[in-house]
Amino acid sequence: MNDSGSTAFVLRLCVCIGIAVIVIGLLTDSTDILWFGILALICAPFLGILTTFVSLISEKDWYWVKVAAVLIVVMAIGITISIIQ
Amino acid sequence: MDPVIILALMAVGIFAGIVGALFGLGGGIIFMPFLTIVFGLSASDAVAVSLVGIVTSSVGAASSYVKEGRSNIRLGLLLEITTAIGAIIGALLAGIMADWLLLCVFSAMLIYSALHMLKHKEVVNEPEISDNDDPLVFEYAGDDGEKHRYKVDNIKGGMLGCGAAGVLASMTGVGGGAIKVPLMNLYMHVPIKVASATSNYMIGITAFSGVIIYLLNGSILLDYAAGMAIGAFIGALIGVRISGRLKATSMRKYLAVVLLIISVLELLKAGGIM
Repeated sequence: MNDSGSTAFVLRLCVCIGIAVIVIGLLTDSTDILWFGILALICAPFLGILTTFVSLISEKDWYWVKVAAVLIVVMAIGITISIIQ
Repeated sequence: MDPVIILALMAVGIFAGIVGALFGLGGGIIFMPFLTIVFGLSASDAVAVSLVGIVTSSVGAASSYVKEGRSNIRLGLLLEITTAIGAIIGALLAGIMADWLLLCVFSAMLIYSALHMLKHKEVVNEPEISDNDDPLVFEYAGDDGEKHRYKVDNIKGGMLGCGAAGVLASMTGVGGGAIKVPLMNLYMHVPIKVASATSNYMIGITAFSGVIIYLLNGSILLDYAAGMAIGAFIGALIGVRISGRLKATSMRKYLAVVLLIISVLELLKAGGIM
């Protein structure tokens, strides 16, 4: 599977799992289940980037591997700053 | 929570998801007024719930667009670097510049973009065969179903523009997609359907950095977010279907109208009316 296929798969998997868990959370009125469902949803974009990063490495597309790596680092810095603030 | 409220949240989510998926917008411009005015949430609660809706709409649409090859993942990753840096800078600078001034600048940019889209035809740079090794040459499927190649122009300016979009979005909570789609289409000469699909992919990444903090802090109203997310997902799937049937020239015109509406809403907000 190329990077588009694998990234699309991970995005769709996360959002479907997230929505399914959210629906269960609403039906059982459980905030814990809702929390995990929302977590699965919102982690989808970041997991998509990681998937793309791995796919690009396997394709030996080094220019875009570096781009993805820089983005991951910048996002990690941004989240760290947000946590500290 | 009352099932009627859940259904109402889903309805708002569906509408925002359709618009977001069609035009590469996050949907925050729809979520926020409904959450604050109709559902009576505070601004901070509304932002947190809205971000969940934005991520869901974005990911729901992007999962289809990426598979179809319409979202340019590589370009999205590159532009997200400066967007994310801009968002960090914007968060640090928040409060330095008056909101109304930022919103006026933002509205002026949207009006300019909308009028340019209505007045001028799309410009796409078709690369020479010698450009085959250029990392900024990509392929997309046109309205005729055929594969076409395009070269992304003005990459440095585009990255700066996305940085500015990140600053603005971080300081005012608006406008990531509304700036990026015209920027990619008008300035970087990315075909409009690719620009909106790529923006869909990017918006989720931008929103992730903010919403994860809200979730870990326990600051998200989970039942509101749940209803909104379900609706946004359904809306995104519908929006993707509609987008497949829309011609690129029509999409540009409709987007221009949407940008004009957004600019009016932001001017009303700047004036304290909304």
